[in-house]
Amino acid sequence: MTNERRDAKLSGSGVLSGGSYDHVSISGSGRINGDVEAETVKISGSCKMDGNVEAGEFKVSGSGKLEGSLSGKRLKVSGSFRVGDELDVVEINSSGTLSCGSHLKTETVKISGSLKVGGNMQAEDFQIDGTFAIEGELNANNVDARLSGPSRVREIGGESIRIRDEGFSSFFLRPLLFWIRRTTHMCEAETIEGTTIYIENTRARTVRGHDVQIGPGCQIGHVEYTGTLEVSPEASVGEQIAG
Amino acid sequence: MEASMEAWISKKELLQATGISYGQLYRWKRQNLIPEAWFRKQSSFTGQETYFPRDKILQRIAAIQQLKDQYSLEELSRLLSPERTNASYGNEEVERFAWYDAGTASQFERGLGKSRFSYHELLFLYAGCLLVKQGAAREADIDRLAACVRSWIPAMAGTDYRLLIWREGGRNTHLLASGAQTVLLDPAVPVAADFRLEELAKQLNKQFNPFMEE
Repeated sequence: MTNERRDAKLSGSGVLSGGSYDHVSISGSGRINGDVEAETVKISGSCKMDGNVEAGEFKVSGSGKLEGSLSGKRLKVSGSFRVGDELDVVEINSSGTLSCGSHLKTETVKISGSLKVGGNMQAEDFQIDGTFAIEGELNANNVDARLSGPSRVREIGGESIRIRDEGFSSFFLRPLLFWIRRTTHMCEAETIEGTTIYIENTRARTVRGHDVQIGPGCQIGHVEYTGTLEVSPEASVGEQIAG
Repeated sequence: MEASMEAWISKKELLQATGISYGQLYRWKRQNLIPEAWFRKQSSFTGQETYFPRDKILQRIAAIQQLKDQYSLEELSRLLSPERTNASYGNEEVERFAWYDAGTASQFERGLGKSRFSYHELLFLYAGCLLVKQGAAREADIDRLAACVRSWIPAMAGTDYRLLIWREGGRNTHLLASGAQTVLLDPAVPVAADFRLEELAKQLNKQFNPFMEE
């Protein structure tokens, strides 16, 4: 970009109109009307945006709401951030809640907290400590999920898939949820396909892979494997097919 | 499905036949090396099974395996699914092809108002050059075609289209129909050309990359 760009700063409460900026910073409570293109966008406090955003770096501490789509290089969330449409960001780091109304495309994503995706999700490296709800397919090279609450996804496909049950995190709810735990699965999926798979406390119709380990608490309708299969004595598998 | 079973291959059979892993298949899908449209879901007694158009997927996987060490990912996806990329093509990249006609190309440049073409524009340029070589279009017809292309491109998605051209009253008339549609034309109309863009795309891709399928 050769043309001069400006910085936009908003503190207190106010409205900013969209456009092309260098740095946008909102502290307090703000609104942005229209599409924004910027090097960095920083929100501390709360901000509502009604357009699409393209940003090198997008940071939310507090709460952010974007009606359109976000594309860029880095997204950092501490607090909550909701994207109405697509999210296409190279690197995502979120602690708190992150939700995306449509497809999510990224390379590395690290979540501690919750993730909601309305469409399909695609990543090279997906690490989550918390819970997820993905309406479509999760396609990732590496999935490493440590679940602390019920999560669901229609399909998972990738190279290495690990789903571990970390137990309910809420200290106060723990006694209450103790009995629910026995009947509820941490992860629900229709299909899980990967080269290597390790899953715990997961309910799935079909699991297909090369080296498959079905851990404790799993309830799987149908397992197909081409390499090795290990099934925990505390898991139930309807049918096993080798080859 | 039954009748054309041979035309389809299940994911499991595909992995057995090619020796690739689930991880690789999903990676290539992520990287757009295998079109999403080729993954067809069917319900079966084990839940859902994915089927692929057999010949296409086998050729595609062979091409990827053969080319992946020589080309970067970006080059590879441009070679395999050029219509999906934002690549642009200048004269220097296409003038080596036998079908290339410099006059037609400069008319396109003027008509479209640019010197580098998108993949779709290039497809029409290819069609235009073929028409000129066949003697089915005069200079004024190419100007007309370029003007059509300019108005069609924003509304196009993919390459499943049919370009019909007929000659009447000393000039060509152009019609672009989506590939799935049946076009019933006055049988007395002299059709000068009937192009399937998908076919043209295949021919063009093959020239860019001799290893390409089909």
